Amino acid sequence: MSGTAQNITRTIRRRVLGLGAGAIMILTALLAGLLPNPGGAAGMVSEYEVKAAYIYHFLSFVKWPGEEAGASEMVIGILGDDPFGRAFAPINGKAMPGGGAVVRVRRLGHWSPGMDLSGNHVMFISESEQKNLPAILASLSGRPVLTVGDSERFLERGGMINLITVDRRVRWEINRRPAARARLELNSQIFRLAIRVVDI
Amino acid sequence: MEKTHMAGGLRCLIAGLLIVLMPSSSWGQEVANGDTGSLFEVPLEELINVEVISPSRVKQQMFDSPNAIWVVTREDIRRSGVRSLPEALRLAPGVFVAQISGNRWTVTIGGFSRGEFSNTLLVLVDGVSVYSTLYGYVDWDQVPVGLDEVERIEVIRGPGGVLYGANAVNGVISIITTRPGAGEAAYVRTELGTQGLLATSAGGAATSEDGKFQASYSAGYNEDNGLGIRQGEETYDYQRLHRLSLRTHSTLGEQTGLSLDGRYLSGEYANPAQGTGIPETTRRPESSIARARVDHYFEGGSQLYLQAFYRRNLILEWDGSDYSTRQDGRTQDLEFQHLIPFEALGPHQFIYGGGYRSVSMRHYIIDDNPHYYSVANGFVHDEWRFLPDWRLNLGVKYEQVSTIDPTWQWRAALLYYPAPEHLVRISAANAFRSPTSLENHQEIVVDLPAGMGFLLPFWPPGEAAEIVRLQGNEHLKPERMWSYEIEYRGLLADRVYLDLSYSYRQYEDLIAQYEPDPGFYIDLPPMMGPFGVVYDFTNEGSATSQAVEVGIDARITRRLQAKLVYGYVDIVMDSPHEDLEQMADVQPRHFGQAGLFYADRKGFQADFLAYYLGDVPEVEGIEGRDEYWRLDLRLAKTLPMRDGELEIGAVGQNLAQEWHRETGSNYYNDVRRGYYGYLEYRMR
Repeated sequence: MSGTAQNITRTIRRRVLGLGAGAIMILTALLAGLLPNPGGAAGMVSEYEVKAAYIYHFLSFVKWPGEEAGASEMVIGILGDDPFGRAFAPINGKAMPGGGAVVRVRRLGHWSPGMDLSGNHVMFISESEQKNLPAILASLSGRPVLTVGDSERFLERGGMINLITVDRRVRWEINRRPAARARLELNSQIFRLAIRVVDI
Repeated sequence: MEKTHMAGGLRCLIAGLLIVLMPSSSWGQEVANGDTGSLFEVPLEELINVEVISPSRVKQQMFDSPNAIWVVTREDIRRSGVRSLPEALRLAPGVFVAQISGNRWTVTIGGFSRGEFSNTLLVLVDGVSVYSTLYGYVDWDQVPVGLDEVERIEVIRGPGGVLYGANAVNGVISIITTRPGAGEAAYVRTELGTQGLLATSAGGAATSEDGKFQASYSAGYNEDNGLGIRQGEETYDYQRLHRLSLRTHSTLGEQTGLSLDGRYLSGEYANPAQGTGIPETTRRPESSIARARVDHYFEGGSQLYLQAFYRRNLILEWDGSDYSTRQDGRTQDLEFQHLIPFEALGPHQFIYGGGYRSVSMRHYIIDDNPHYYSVANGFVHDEWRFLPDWRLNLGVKYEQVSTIDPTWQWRAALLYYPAPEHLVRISAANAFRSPTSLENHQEIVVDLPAGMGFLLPFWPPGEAAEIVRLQGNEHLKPERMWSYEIEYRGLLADRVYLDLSYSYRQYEDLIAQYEPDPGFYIDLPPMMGPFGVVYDFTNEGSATSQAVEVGIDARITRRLQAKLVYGYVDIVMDSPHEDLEQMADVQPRHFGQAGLFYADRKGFQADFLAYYLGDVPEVEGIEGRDEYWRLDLRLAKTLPMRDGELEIGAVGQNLAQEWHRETGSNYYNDVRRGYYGYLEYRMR
């Protein structure tokens, strides 16, 4: 094939490829506008905004034993570095739906031996407290406190609910045994939507 | 003609973009009215489908790290439209990435790249080193990991020798895959594009009923015609690769976990000629990794892990004739670490560990005999929070590499948190690079062709006349480096993550390839050129470098995110040898990337990335190149399906130019404009 013929062939091929690729872009764009709405409820938000919402929901899906069940305040404790920022602000100090208990969020700082952890219904144990996790869980053992974390092997080390991010979505996994020891009754919906349920 | 074509292509893209953005005014209102408080009213069933941006836990890890670290997340990779690991590394500040053929790359941190031999960078896949001790580089095309498996890539700028060992001089790239069992139950993705691109990947994850056994698997196939262009001319550059991986995790009792991984990659690709007298070849790589790791958590908080791995890297290569070569590398490794938290004037995290690695390498350039290399090491490291807002990290490592004298590596880092989410870090460390097998044992001899003996009438009859000899030096010392860094990391207004760093580094005993005087040189008449040249290696070079790096990750609105990374590096080389001087001269000083990532609540995403690479000056033997911009665009839409979701997307890469060269050498290929479309189905 002569040089001129090669050039012509090459130019035609590039033009066709270029227009084809442009057509793919336009087609995608059209699809974006025309295809049905998947119905995403809240669009894209930060990981800890979603985790805060989960913890808030857990208050409604867990039944605490004895006097904790009728408390006028439901307390969420955050132990260690606080990764939530202002995520809890919309519900902190406000009553739960239906005139229920008032939600309080307490930032407890870093754990130290002998620290008073009483009065909390949910305890979020931050990644920064990994090294103290066995001691923290030991001090809460058997007490009606829902322990929530978002760290590797949180369940294997005795935590109850671990929040994990899977493909841009936050999900959770549950360890039933410590929850039962703490006499907490978890609603079946929590189990149904969990991505993993273990008895460790 | 080219201009007309470029304008047409760009018009199509701009039209597509406009169509996409036209309805955005209503989305903009939603953003303005957005209230995260409404998330608390979203039922659990819907909350599990809410996508999150830029996991902030990753940022939290960045605040805890005593290293200059930047994390490229799975989301970053997906949104940028990149198709390979080296491309994904462009998303981190301070990483210089240049593509030199359809399947080969040069990736460096802090400069010091010799073509594709970026020998001061250590790369790990789930803790398994994929650094080649033959040339001192990473065969990126043979790293048996698909992007679909990657959870995140941690890019550590600066020395990492204390924790990672030899050759972690200018940086460490740690590729971490998704946890076994996590992710979609199944997925399949197909890509079709220009340059004959056809790629498919599929995989999934499963967990046993009792939750104690988890597994993930992934398989992929890729074929394309590579870059196929050099200085505007077509060239031969295809690749066909397939890979497979299986990863498992088992819970053994309450405190012990066992991870078992297996990976395999093989294929064929064309390796374009990369210099005078170096022929175009066809390569068939085979790469495999097997890894076992046990983690045990003791009462009281201490953690122990024990890891063993085996890696094999085999490359068969043909040059179009009957002549073929074989490169065969095998690595066995055993290592452990024990972390012990304790209290003494504040909390400590004390780690001690050690390991042993043995490598055998065989290749014709090192006389075709297997050469053995071993490393034994032990280290201690402590992180001490001596005041609530201060941490001190100290570490030292002793390493015995079989080819050099024992070495000590150390690091000290002081971290100050003036306020929550703000960190100032200063650190000092040393590191070393052990000589490669090539530098120690290279043996390439080119004899005078038969029938040309009349050129050397004085040569003893019957003796082969060597006209070129490239030889190694078994007495080389390691290259040494001292690094001093200062860095600020902060979260501003709860939405802008900022990372600013400055480093000053000194290098000693740099290894240069040189021509000894007089060597084997035979003084022939000038018109016949130099005959009998010998090249050797020596430790004759020192250098200083200064680098500034900036990384910004800003969440502008709930739907719009911006990222900006920039790096500047200046190297001053002091060596009598052209080899090293040239290496410093051809390093571009400025490189950066800016990205805008838009996602609406209907599952539509529009992502725009611009890369910049500064010019490379012309020096002797290197042609140089101008600065260039590279523009990429990705458009995608996610649709809900009965048991999962379907994503359809299109990506345009290198939209600013028909082609450009990313290195300063004419012996490497050009990067051309390309497009691909894809479909991905994810089943939950």
